[in-house]
Amino acid sequence: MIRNTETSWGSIAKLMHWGIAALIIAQIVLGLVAVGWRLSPTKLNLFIWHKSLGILLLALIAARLLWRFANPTPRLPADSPGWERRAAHASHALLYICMFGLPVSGWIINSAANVPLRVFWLFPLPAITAPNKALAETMKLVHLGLIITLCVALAIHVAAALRHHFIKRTDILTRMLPGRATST
Amino acid sequence: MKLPGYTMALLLLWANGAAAAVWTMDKTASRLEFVSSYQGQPAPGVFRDFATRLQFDPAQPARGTLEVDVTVTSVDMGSEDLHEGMRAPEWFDFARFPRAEFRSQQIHQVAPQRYEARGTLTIKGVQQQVTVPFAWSATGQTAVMAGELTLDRTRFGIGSGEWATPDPIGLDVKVKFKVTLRRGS
Repeated sequence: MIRNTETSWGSIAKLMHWGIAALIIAQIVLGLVAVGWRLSPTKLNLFIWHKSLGILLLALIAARLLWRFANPTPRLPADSPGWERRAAHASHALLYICMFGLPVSGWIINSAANVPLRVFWLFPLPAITAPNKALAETMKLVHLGLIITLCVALAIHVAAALRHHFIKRTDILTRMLPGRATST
Repeated sequence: MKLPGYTMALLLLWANGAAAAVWTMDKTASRLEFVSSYQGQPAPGVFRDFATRLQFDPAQPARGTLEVDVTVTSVDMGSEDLHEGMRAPEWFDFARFPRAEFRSQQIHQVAPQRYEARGTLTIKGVQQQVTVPFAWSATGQTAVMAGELTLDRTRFGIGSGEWATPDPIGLDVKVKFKVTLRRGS
């Protein structure tokens, strides 16, 4: 099934979940490698890849959120206590805030630092702020804060999924896996 | 044929090889800009501080001399990150080469109101022969010389070593100038 139901994730939602997850992991590694690389053409090109991937992720995440609103979200297990439901919603909201905030803050850094960018060497990215050294420095801290927040939220997300699978024995994890259209 | 006295005086001055008119740069109405590239995207900048000394008679360009001094460290690309990069020894090496200059004693006309100044451009201690084309338009005591030329930055060792590659920072840099001059020193 392409679309979600009240009890299962459709193929589009699964593809976007795992595809974006893989790209986010690659993006975090790419960002760390680029920051640590000594100043050289290679470092600049690593950043061009990082920035380009960030813009791609921004578009994908926007599409994913639209798809989420246009589809039912599969219900949590009926016996989930209230705190679990609130924690699930809060951590998912936090993931989305980070997934949007990271590329947007990166875009602001790039604009405020007055560095041109051709996304994947294909098209120019417009600046969204005027050159502003102080703003660039502030946004670098925001970017760093968001990446730490994202890593914490990801850890909670993965831990919760594993807890559901191995301890609570629910289908929360397996229903997001490819090829498992129906919920038991 | 009887010539008026001042014409005679002028001819005598020329015959003696006297200097052509002296022109002084109006700093506030003059700009020295450049356009480098990043990923093929234009990355413009400006040298805030430079001086032009010109001796030039548009009717007798061969007598002219052009001297331009540029304070390299006054470069402004609207980005402190880029400024820090340009300071480095691989780029402009501010510490050792804070100034660049152009010296020409070969100015000739190529078309009505269009001239070329051949001379020596020194950047980062590297001397290269370049030809600077410019358009000349004078009204009364004021004149504007404007032109542009493209330089390969690697000729001057700007972006040396591993930076001497067009990716992502292009090799060609377009230099544009518009200098307003007033007659007299």
